[in-house]
Amino acid sequence: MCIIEQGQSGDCRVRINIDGALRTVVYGYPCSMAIDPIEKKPLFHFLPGSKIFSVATVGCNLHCRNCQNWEISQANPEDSEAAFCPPAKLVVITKSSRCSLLAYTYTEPIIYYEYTYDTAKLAREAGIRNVLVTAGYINEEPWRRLLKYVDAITLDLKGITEDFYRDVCSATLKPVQNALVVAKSCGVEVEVSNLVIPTLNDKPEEIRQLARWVRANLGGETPLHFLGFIPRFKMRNLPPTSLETLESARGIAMEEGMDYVYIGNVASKEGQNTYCPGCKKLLIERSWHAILQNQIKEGHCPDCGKEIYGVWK
Amino acid sequence: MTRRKFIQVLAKTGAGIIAGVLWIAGVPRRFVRARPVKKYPGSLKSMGDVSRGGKWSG
Repeated sequence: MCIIEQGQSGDCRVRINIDGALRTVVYGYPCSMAIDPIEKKPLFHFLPGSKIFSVATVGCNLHCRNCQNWEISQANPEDSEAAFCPPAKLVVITKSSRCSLLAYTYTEPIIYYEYTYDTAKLAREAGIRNVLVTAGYINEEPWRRLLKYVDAITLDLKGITEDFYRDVCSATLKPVQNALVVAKSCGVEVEVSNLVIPTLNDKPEEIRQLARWVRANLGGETPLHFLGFIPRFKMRNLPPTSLETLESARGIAMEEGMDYVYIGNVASKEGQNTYCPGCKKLLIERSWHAILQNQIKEGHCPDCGKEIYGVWK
Repeated sequence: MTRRKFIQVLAKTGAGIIAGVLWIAGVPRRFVRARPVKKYPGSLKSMGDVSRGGKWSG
């Protein structure tokens, strides 16, 4: 929680106190807009193969020492460049780009909350589905308000200990776990990502603890992505995560009863594909962000008929 | 400053800090919607070619 003095900004740098009123300086001013494959978010069980219009402003309420996008997430608005694109215009651009999906991503949609909320509401009315890529560090009340207009989230569960959140992210774990549970209970399609950082959160017992928590609180059907760390920002002293570590993490999570466990940021054949948890049939074959084949029929395995978690149309 | 005076100052400061922390913890949190500012504090740019893939992670 920030106590913001008159004329000062909060920890996120984008919310300021002007004459006792809270103001956001990034509303309608995205620093990045692009069209991505939805697999890049990563989101593997939500309309695979779709293009998704992606938007971000500067700012974040976390300060992860390993942040992959620190140039924009940790930027001061004063030092940044942004385009003027209010919610209605953003919805029009999304539609004119022939996208039916809109992602609030790259930095932290929670920190440009009002922009996310207003755009998501308009987008829903226009038939566009909304996706959040977030760290989920938010109180329950604003989270529930926002989730009314959200169709899917990828939430980055950065670790499973309070020590990790405090030391690496300048945050706490409990609100993030609560955000995940609330999102799932609201019927939003939820996927969890975890950046595996050598020596910091890659111990097998921590991976097991994380998988157990996800299974117990979100269900074994929740897609779980283990992502390879790339040395960035204030953590250039550690090596990239090896494929062996990621494959080990995937194996542990599957032992713990997770049905869909993926590997990202590092080339992995099996770790990119979706297999039926019932009969083990290859359902979706991927190559990086491309879909090579998709065998899922109306949300079910064509061989054994098992329902596959996700949104497929 | 005498030792007694020093302990009194220390105790008052400690009590003040504790009272402040309790006050912050006790005040119910309420949802506050921030209002937009009229002018972006940084520099403005054109939207550019939005059809290209994003260079950022996520």
